[in-house]
Amino acid sequence: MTDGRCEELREDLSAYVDDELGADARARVEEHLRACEECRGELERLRKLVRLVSSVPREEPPAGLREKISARVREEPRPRRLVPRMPWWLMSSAVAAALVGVVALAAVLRVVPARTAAERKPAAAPRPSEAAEDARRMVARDAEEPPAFEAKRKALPPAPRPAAPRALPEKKRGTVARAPRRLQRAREGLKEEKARAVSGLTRTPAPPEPSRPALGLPFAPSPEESERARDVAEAELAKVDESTAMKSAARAPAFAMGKAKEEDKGSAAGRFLELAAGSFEEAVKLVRLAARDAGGRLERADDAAGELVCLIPEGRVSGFAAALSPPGGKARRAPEAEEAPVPGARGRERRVSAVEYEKGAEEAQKLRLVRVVVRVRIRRP
Amino acid sequence: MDETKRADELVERTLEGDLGAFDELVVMYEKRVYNLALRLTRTSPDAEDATQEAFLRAFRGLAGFRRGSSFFTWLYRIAANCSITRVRSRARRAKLEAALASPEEDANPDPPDPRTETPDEGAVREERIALVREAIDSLSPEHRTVVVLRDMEGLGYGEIAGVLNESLSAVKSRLHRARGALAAKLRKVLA
Repeated sequence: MTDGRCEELREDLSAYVDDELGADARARVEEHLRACEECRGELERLRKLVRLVSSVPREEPPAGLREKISARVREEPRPRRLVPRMPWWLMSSAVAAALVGVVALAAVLRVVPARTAAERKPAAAPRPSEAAEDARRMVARDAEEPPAFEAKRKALPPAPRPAAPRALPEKKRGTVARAPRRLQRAREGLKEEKARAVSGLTRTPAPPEPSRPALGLPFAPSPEESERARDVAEAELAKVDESTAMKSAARAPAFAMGKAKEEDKGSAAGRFLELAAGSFEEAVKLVRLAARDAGGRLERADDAAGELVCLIPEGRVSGFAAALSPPGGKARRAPEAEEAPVPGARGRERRVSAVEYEKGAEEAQKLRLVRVVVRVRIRRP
Repeated sequence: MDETKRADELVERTLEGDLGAFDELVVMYEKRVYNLALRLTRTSPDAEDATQEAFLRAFRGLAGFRRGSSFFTWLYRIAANCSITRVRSRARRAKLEAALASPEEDANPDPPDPRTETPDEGAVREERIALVREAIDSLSPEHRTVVVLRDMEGLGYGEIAGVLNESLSAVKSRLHRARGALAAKLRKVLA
């Protein structure tokens, strides 16, 4: 019995063989099959065909194919998203949001006694609770990385201690005022593409206290810290905006080194390390291991910029540095800024230099992490 | 460990800079990707090139791969695209299109073959396999792709839809037509 329904149902017959029909369609097909001998014959032919085709074994790939693929993959730049847990730009903006919160909070607290200073630029910074909440939300977006989340939560500002009244320099207040807008832009998706751009650090009022690319996590906004936090926030935002400072390597290390020297004289510790690495992958592995051993972690690895960013618990940085020292030698100080690697000239020097920076808040001792930026330069054999 | 989870884990590790993890992905999927490419490109050198290219493209695009979706489906899509692109960009494109200009059903579906008479069962099986491969190779690229994905690689309709970026109903009707064309070519074998 062949009727118009046969044609209609033939298409379903194929899906019926594959068990890809919904219950209703299957019932329709089965009902028709009971009545239609021709379609039953068609069903059998179909089943036979499927059995025949699926009985064809897979052929062995040519010998050496996987090695070829493996070799070619190693000639490629690393995939960009090297920290899957939390994109670095999100991390940066989350940290920046937290910092803006700290700054704003500190500013508000200062401004109460120093009213005149506040009146010059009212409502420039977001309300601290908002900023902190924003940061929390952004951090919370990445539920897959509890440690990072936890760390960032800890990084959010606790109740600040009262700060000494002090008027903010106009320039710096402007910086704070810009932050939310730029943060907003950052949230709207300025990502790695932007990382090709030249550093935005020059936009930061540089002297007498340039912002820094390395970032400590603030825990209590003392006046000094708040000021520092502004700089750090600015640096982070600049990275998000036009990222990354490290990309324009000639400038960034010079800048960073200047900062570190200053830090050496000051209360916070800061120094440079120069270490050997065979390749970027090797550096990643080495640094990740060393960071883990030190109880910290590799936060970000950017092959394009040739840098690795780690968070290392305070007090274990020297151990971390030692683990990265070239065999038989000890970590030595990096040469002066002029010797810093040239952008795009990856492959000349086998060198890893590290910049570290620590915050000085004593009450945050137990939570302090040191952000270590490891720069990698590899000579290809 | 479930293969999907394993693949996701390896993707993560690769993104963290562990190239050995990507090598493991290659080992996991090399054969399947190669066979897909082989049926789609129809020659071993092309299949080898397409396989290499597929894995390289996957590596380059790994950052854009969304976790939660199937790495295997994603990889297959890349491999199918690499293969089809390769076939199309080849000099034999003209020949292929000429072959496709005539309806598949009109093509000689069962050329006489004296070797089917051989008493050796193994040889018979080998011969049948060769005939099936030949028949699949003679399908249009559209039909070939869907038949290979479904009947050789065993993908579900949803997965095929994912690989081909088509709707389920499109997959269903395309597969129906492809099987019709293939059955016509294999009439003798199926008899």
